[in-house]
Amino acid sequence: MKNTWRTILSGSGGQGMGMAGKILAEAAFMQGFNTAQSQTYGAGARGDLSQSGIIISSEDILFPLIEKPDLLVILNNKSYGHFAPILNSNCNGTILIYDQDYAPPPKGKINSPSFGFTVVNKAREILSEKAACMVALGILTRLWIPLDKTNVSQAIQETFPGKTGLQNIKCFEEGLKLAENYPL
Amino acid sequence: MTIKKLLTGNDACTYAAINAGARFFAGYPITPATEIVELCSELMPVYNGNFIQMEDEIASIAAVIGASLGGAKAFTATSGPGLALMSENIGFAAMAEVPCVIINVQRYGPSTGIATKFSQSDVMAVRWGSPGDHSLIVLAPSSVQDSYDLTVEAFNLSERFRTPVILLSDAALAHVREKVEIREPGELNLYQREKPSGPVNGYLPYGTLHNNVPVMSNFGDEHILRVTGLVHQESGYSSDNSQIAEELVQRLARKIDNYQEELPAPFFYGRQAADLIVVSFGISARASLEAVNTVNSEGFKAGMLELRTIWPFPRKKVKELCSGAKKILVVEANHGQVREQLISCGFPPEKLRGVNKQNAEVITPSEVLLALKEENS
Repeated sequence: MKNTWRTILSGSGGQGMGMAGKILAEAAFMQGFNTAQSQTYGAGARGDLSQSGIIISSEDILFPLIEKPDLLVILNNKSYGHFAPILNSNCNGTILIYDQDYAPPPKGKINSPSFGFTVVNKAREILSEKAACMVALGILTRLWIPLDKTNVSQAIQETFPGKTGLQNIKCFEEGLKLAENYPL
Repeated sequence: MTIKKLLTGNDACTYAAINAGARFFAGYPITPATEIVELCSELMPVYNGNFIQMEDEIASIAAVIGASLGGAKAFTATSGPGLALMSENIGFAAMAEVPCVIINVQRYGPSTGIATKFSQSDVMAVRWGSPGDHSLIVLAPSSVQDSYDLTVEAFNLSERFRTPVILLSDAALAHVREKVEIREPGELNLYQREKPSGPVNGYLPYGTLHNNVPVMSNFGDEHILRVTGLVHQESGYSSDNSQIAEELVQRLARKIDNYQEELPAPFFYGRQAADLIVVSFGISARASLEAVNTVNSEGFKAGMLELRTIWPFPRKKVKELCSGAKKILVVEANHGQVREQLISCGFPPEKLRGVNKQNAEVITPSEVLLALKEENS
């Protein structure tokens, strides 16, 4: 039985990678899991390649950073260069979720099981690109992460009090809907 | 009461300092320690403490020393270039026996290096950055929980030994978020510094020793305290007498070295009487432990020693725990600064293998695993 989930969110600084990672970690913490969350620190978080890693486990987490993710969420093309060694391998075991409009996988180069979604555009419809990761969180919660959606919603609400929180929760719920027909 | 929270290493250090009783922070923001400065600016007023953003790191540590002499538990936080500026006054605090805590969040160096990137290369700088045969204590946390626990311990030790204590964190640990059990002040054993109680007339601030540590008044108390970085007599007045100088400098070392059992002992994991032992500290110890657990599940006989007190180097414990090993791997993100200490403990260099990384990235479990497997083949 799986007891540890290692997820990396990768995109552009400003798409909310760090914030989404923190929310996921908070939700895991609420649910009683052990968790470790890390994120890009420096110029990357301000417009360049930005990442957040979240480990969720029912066991003690020895090493808090992620060497190889079980799940990789990619929201920009630049991320493919960074993760090429993992995604090009035939036996990596990493599942790829990507933004189908802005980050389609380079043809013939990805050997990971891959699933595309309208992430960024959905976030723009509801709020702004800054909420792209909230849509991604919805997809993750539906398909992958063993977290109760009410805990994720609560973590979002606590992070963004007021009206912004409600809009971010709507983005999250849209993500849940988008993933309804994708049994992983 | 114990509260569980999800915190970064930097935040855990700050909450720990507050709960240990620190009510004075002076600092100058520097990546990757800035979050400590920011959080202190929010929390200190709430706890009726003082926060001052100083003009630089020289002034920061000077203000901390002043606050401590006045009786407050005081601290600062910095990183490599700031530590370099603080060096002179860290020596002053060691010489004048002023309790204070410095959180050094290591970043890639030398010099300004890469501000946002990781390193463990300040091991020798924290020990010998300041000139002279001074003594101090350096502790190295390996998790966010450890950042909390060892910061509390840093304040206790600084008060107990009347010495600067440096917490050696790093850029990776400072920003990773993990669960922390926050024991609040009522549940913490907090050391309160001793105060003189005898007659005011004739009081010698450096004349009454308890376990080689002077029982000193606060600046401004009726027991007059004289403070100097010069060699001084028991009265606190300066002296150029060679015998006084030797006695003072040797006592400064003795007051810590002779009581090392009071400092956080290394953790030992894995197989006792192991053929292969990994020695590490900080976040590299986490990678090492994962690798050691992996090889032991495959039938190896490996152990892992995590240093928690870096200075004074726990020579006795390290010798005791590692002497039976055929090979010792020293895992550290620097050129081999801890490995040098093992050589000085008497371990032959050919028995020691450095697993080092100097590319500003964290050492990973698979890198330690590879080294372990090479040694076992």
